Amino acid sequence: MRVALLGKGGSGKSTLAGLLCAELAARGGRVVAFDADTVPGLGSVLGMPVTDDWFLAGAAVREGAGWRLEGSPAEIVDRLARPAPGGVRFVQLGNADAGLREFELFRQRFPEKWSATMAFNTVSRVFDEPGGWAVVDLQGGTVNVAAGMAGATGVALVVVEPFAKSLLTARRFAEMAGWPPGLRLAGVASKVTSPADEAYVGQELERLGLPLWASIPVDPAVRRAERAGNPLVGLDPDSPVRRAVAALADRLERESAAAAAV
Amino acid sequence: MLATLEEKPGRVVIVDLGGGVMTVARGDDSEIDTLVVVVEPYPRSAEVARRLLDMAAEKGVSRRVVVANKIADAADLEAIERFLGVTPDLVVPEDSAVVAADRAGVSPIDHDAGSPAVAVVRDLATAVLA
Amino acid sequence: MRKIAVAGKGGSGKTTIAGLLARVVAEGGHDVLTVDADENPNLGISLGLGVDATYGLIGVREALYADGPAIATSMEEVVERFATPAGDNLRIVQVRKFDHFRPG
Repeated sequence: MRVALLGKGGSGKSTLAGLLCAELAARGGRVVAFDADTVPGLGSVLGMPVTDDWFLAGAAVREGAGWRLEGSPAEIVDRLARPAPGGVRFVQLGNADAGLREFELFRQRFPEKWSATMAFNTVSRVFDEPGGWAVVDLQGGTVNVAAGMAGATGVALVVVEPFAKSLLTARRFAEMAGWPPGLRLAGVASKVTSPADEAYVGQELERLGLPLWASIPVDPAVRRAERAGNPLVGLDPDSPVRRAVAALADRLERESAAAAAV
Repeated sequence: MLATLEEKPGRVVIVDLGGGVMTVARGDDSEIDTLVVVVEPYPRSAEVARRLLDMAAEKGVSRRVVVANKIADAADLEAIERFLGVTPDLVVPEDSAVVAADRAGVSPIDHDAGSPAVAVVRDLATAVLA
Repeated sequence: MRKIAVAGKGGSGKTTIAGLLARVVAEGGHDVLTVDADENPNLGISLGLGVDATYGLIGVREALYADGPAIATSMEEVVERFATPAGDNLRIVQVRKFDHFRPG
């Protein structure tokens, strides 16, 4: 089943995506993770090294004025996904190279890399792992393309922190027209410090017609790991954050089973 | 975009560029005289900040100001210096008044004009108007 | 005339700081024009406009193209037509507003 993560930048979306991948893989699931950020988000949570590679540069070839995907999304993932901890297969959009990249100039200078972006978007939008999981960490705050990039099946999780700007962002996602009918929208409260925080987010999600599927607490262990630059997959499985992610994984497994039974 | 704005003495234009690198990468920021880069003490935040600073230098933005935000202690500040490789120009402390204002959806200056974070932003104002 | 831009990773506090900076500078007597160029625009909240008013701000880009090709000839004209007051000496122009799906 596909699980796309949406939310305002800094909402904890990438952290959640990475820990979710690790949790699902630890339960024996086949997991493919897509990191759609040009600065690695989910990838760094998994401890993947920051590289200059556009992973899918080899996936698309020029054809006339356009380009063509070389193989099906499944074949491309088989060929080009990188191994991540826990057996997760990892596919990254982005180029980690620092420095100026005038976007148009970059596209002209490196046409094969521009098509890598198209290849990534095409693959990450449709790929599903039969009997397994495709987790897509969309770029933070990109409301306008979310309905297209989240895909047409599975679940789209809107990650919401207990403060006004994050709630307003969730409102924009929820009120957007054009969501595919086969995609289920749900909310996850993030960086929760108290039951009042959870109620605050829950109320707004209810107003928007979104169920609250998980509540991820603020965890000092996360802060410590980030200060030290340690990948968050190293967190203790008993830590509050990881237990909350496990509860979300339970919910997603029930959803996946229900969808498969249809 | 800003080039066609009327030059008015005493006028100050402040642009919120949006999170991440793409707005700066795509834009023509030669019209900007100061880029304020806000950074938090963890690697991903510093990576974005580093790219923004490099891009701004290449685009000819004459002044770049680094503001460390939500700094709780010396370890946080040290983390910024370690990840970003520069000492921030200004340090905004973790501030419960800002958290409360953000929660309520109001400006921190309306919630508590005397809070520590607001004081540092006053210093930022002095710096950018100099 | 000063032209200042504020940037950073999403969630860094960039919009909070940009809004606070605008308020401080305006209270100091300068004529402040703020521009929210974020495609998920929240600057109005940090200026103190409130959530609903911020949600309701016109997106200049959409407004200009609503009736065919854009006809504004300068940023100054855009400001005159679309800037919303946010206090003494303080106005905001919001570039984008997303309330329905557009293909990526």
